[in-house]
Amino acid sequence: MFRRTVDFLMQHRIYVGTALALCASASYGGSQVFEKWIVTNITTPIVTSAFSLLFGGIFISAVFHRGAVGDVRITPKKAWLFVMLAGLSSTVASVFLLFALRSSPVVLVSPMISINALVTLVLSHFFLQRLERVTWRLILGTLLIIGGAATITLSAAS
Amino acid sequence: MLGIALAIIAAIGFGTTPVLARLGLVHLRSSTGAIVSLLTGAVLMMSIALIFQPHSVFSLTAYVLLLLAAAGFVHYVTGRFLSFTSVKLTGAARTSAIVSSQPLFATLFAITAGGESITLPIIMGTLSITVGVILVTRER
Repeated sequence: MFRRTVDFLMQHRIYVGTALALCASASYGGSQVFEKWIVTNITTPIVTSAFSLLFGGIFISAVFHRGAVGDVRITPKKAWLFVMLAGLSSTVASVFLLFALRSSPVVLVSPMISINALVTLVLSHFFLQRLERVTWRLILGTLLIIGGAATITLSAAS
Repeated sequence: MLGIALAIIAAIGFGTTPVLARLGLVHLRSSTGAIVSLLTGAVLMMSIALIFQPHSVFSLTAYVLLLLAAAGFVHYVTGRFLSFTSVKLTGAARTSAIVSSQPLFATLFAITAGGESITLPIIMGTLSITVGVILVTRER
């Protein structure tokens, strides 16, 4: 039963992955509302980010640590380096975002941040060619999502 | 101008993250990748906090730590872990595009919990995002 479920999910990985990405998007969107309240009323953005990251890492480690320990033995060093760099790039980007929001209003900053999906598209084309394809449909879909997100953000800001 | 330049740099950083994750997750489980990326980021951010805002760090109460733990769970346990799993299943470009729809969900939460009203730009933005997600999902 479990095996059949896994096979079914892997056959429909695009839809499963899309559903997971939408859930991730909802989590990020929801957490923004919560974290905005924290940085407005409780503590600073840097302290909020630091402890949120720490607690997030601890929670996931508590659940999945056995798998991680197993991965240590079999995974090439390059893979560890890439995910560490992913963590660093995301954290550094968050710091720059904080300073950007201090320097300029959100109506200017948010549309600029939205282009991160285009950055991913370009980098995917050059560095992930053997893993995924960037097609015109993907580019158009990305532009529509970015345009919609920017419209909503600018509407909320005004 | 400075704010825009900083925002562009931030966008480059956020856009690079799924690509780096994709390269690492070829050999790693998404959960392991999430753990490593989160703890790496935590070390960096905690160092910055201790250097520039030590008073804010050491003045935290148990109640505030509980709130931050809840924020960490919502943002990173569900957000980062699910996005990494999506990267592994569908790729960096598709995941990044779909995750960019997060302002839609932030607005939906603000409407349902905060009592904000639905406006024409919100409807148009929602439609645009929906069509975009369909296009991206139907990609083979």
